[in-house]
Amino acid sequence: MFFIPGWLISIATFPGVIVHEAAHMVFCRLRGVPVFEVCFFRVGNPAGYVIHGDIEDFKTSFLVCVGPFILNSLLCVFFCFPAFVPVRLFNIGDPLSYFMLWLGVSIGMHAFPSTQDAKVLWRAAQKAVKQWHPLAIISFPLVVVIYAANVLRFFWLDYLYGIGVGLVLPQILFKRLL
Amino acid sequence: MNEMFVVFGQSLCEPCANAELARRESGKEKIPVGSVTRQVDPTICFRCKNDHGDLALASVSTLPVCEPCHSFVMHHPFPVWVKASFAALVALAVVSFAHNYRFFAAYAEVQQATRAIKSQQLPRAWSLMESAAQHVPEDAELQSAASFYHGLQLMQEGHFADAAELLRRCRQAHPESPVIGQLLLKAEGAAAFEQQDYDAMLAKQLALMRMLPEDPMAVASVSSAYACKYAVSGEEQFKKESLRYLERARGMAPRDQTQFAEYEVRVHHRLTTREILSPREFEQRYPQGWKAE
Repeated sequence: MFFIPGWLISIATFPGVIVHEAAHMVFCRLRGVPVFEVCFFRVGNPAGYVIHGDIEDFKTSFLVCVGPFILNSLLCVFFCFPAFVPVRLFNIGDPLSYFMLWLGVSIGMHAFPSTQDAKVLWRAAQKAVKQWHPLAIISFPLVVVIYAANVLRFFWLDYLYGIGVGLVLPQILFKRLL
Repeated sequence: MNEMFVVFGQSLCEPCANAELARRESGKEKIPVGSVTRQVDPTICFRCKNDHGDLALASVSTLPVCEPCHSFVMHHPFPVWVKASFAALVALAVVSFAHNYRFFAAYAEVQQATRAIKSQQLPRAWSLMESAAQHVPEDAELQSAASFYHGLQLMQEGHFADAAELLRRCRQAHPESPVIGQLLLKAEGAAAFEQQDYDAMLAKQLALMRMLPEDPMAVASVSSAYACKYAVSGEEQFKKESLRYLERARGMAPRDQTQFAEYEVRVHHRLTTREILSPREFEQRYPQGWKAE
């Protein structure tokens, strides 16, 4: 098994870390959650963080936690899109295309919410499920999936996700649309 | 104040609070929720640290903030470098898409050409593949595909020598492809017929028959080549060979195959009259068909 330290992967894919934290911040701003401090990237653990205020309603909590999955995935597709046809379908590359693919895949690799995000979501879901909040009910298996995804990073699941969303998915959609 | 924490009842600064927690965690002690709280002075802004004397500030998530800082934390701005970087990268993505647009156009044309070939719209397929090859001239596969489609088009129009030239180029790029090999032999055989080189025609048709031994038309084309040689030389052995292959092809052809029936009539005409007519000439001379007297 080819093992690379997490901090090294974070440095190599730092745009993804920045977008991950920015996604948390975007949803905090959209949902009126105060943001006290933001670190978009640093060499350390965690590589980035957002310190925000308490969140009262579960829907906001859910969106803030899952925000990176939405925004990182969308931006992964957006930045890979201009380059995936020449590189993947024609095997013809140039520095700009390779840069866009690195950028897109890096962003996609940090789409998964962290285990800290999962913990916050779990605590919030425990309270909200007492009111039978539908999002809270689906959050329990979702938290399990988030934990599993973070463990499977050791087996490059995050990289496979970035490649899948940035390169494979557009190819499938392109073929169907054309 | 606001920088101090109450940890299990003790007021500690942040480094000491972290050290106390680390000591308890290393001793496998549980840290229940609520055992660590921030000490807050409601008159000192949490963010800018300004002391507002006796004025108790409004709080955001239990933390006191002054009015300007309240606005800041509620609408925390993105740093300039984040906004500028994002704008630059979006612009770069647009530039990259514009730079690579020809690949998208070529791919779309290839997909459309493939569908056109499947629905037997050969001129449209060729036109699309030609356009795709022009969009991406550095792709050898596309050039080869465009030559292939062009070759098919030329064969359909009856320009067999030109078709053979293009198909030879495709063959060089794909020597293992049986389809290209068969089409090339057909084009070369037809070109040899046009040039009245019936030895070459026979050689090509025999090679094609070896590739497609179960195809009645491939077998019949050998009969046609022998009929040409008989028409020119008058040698009976060529007539015998022609009839032999024609019989063999008839045994393989389905009963209702019109194409084979018409082919058979032309071969018989050639053997009877020793006159070599192309399919077009034959149709023009005998629009109602021909029967031996």
